[in-house]
Amino acid sequence: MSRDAILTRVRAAGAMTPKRATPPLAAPPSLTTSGDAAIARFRTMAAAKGITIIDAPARDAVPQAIASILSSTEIETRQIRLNDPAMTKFDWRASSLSIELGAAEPQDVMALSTARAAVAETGTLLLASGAENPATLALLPETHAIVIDAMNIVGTFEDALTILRTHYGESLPRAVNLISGASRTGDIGGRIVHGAHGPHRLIVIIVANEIRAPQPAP
Amino acid sequence: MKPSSSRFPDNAAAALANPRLRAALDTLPGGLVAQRRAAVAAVPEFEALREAARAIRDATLDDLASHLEAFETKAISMGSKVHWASDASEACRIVLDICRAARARLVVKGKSMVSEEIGLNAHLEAEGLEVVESDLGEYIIQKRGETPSHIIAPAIHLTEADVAADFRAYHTHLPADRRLDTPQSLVAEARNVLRQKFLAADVGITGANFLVAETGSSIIVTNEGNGDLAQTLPRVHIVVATIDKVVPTLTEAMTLLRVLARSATGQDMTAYTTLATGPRRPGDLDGPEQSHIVLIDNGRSEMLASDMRDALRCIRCGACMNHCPVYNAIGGHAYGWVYPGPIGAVLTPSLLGIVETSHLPNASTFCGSCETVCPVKIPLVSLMRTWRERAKQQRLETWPARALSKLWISTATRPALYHLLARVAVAIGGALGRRKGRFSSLPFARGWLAHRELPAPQGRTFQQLWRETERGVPR
Repeated sequence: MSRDAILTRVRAAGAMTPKRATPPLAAPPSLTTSGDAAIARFRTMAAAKGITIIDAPARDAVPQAIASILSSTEIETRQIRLNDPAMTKFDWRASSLSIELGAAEPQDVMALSTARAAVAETGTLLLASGAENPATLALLPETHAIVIDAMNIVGTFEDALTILRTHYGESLPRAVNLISGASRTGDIGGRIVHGAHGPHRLIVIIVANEIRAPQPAP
Repeated sequence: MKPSSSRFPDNAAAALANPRLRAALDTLPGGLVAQRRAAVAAVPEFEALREAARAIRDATLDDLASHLEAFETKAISMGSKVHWASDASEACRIVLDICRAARARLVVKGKSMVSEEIGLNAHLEAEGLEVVESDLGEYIIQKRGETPSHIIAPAIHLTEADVAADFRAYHTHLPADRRLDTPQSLVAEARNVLRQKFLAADVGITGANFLVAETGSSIIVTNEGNGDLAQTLPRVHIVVATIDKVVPTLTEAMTLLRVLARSATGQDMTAYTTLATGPRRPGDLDGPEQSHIVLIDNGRSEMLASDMRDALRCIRCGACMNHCPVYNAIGGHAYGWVYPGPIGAVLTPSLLGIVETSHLPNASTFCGSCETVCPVKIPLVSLMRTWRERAKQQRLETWPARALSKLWISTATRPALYHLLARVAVAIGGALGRRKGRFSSLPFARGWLAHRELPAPQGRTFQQLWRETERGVPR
């Protein structure tokens, strides 16, 4: 069968030369940050990608933060699709918003996910799919909002992989989405247009945390 | 797809004479060059990253069989079905069988160069399936019945006006008096048309930028999010990927991603980089019910055993074509197959044989720009030279090329004759060009002189000047 034939050919080709080793890999120093510097770099890099960044003092302040951004933009909806119990438990009606539970539906205008991590290196959000954060939330609606706890903003992709391995061990969730801005295309005449297939607009809500991750002793 | 690489000279001449193509090529490859330069300048360690990327690809290819087996084992344990295809027809048959077993009617695709290589769309359509490309550039050219002219910007050869005219012709269900005079309006229309296809599709097919052995995942890199929708909404997801796409670990994949987008579009990361691992999990509210991965050889194992192995390091960023003066002049279609530009001039002969493709390695000035920007340091010039040598051994050059190279050899290997001819040519040229000091027309060089002038010789040859001076410095 083809499997064995292919592997036999590949193995024979590999045996023709000595094996070379992969050098030890580390993030380049110019892309490496940590702590408050990582949060500052994340803000800069994400803003440079057109991501709207707003702050909330705590998770229970996220509904109010979203309400205020909605009143200051042209987004015409008061309804948000989300499914993360950590977020659904808050009082959304007090902010004149309503929430719909579940995965995204085609008619949804706005959705909210919680990011597992954010990467300062490039201003990237790392989302892991699952019942709490269905992948379609990040893809179908025109506006996507992402909640990230400040303590989960890390310096480099290597740091983000550490978080991923800590949470999921050897079995990744079905989808890990590294999101670095709204959907865009340059396929028509080379001009960049947002909202090609995914969201037109990406909003990130940074939740300040009283409890910081323990810092290593200097 | 059916290659037309054997007609390269005619294709190139037609491309040069096409003003619409010129207009399209005037802006985009150059824009990508400037964006890449800025992205690279922002990372002082970029050269070290290129070296690390090269080393990762080399080490992986050296032990590819082990990594493929590790990937297969992990992918299966995560719930994917792994299929192996020796060639294009087997790969197409496997994909068709999966579609049939799922009773699929509509297939939506993310951009995949290997699917172009194996002619997947035509195969599925011949069996009655509707296949819709969802990358905006691919959608536009699919509607036109064309092939990609660039591996990351498939419709780079078209202008806004071209696309507007096409959409009016194809989307006849929309009001005829609608405005389509901005890129925004064109993108919005394509989004709406394709959204319906995403929602209705039974099968989503994507390629893979990388396959990760550590996690059994495929990684795709897009800006539009089309690949994500294609692998999330339909009930069956099929990844088609060649066997060289595997990387051992996520950490290595991240290093490669650091050079990929920067080299391709000058972005540090594209909008969407997605790891897909198996089908929907218990409790998941979305995602495909089936996950299939088709590992395709189609000539890669032969390349691995040949002196073209270095070309398998390619991560398909397209920087070599963006920086190539020949690609910038003629665009991608002239190369006559899936992979244009310098990497195409190396890959295409490797995969299709040199007999039908012997013009491609000549489609280079050997300026070396491609090598200096390649994120995995493929020695493109020396690989093209190897193909030129092989074409010569098989006597595949054109008769003028053979005659001229014989003439050159017979003089260049006889110094006395060479000096004599040079002195005569320089003396005649110097006498004829003395009045103006330059030539604006010469026999056999009308095209070359159309945009420039040739300085007239000053009366003495280089050899004479060398002898009369102190190693080039006037005594």
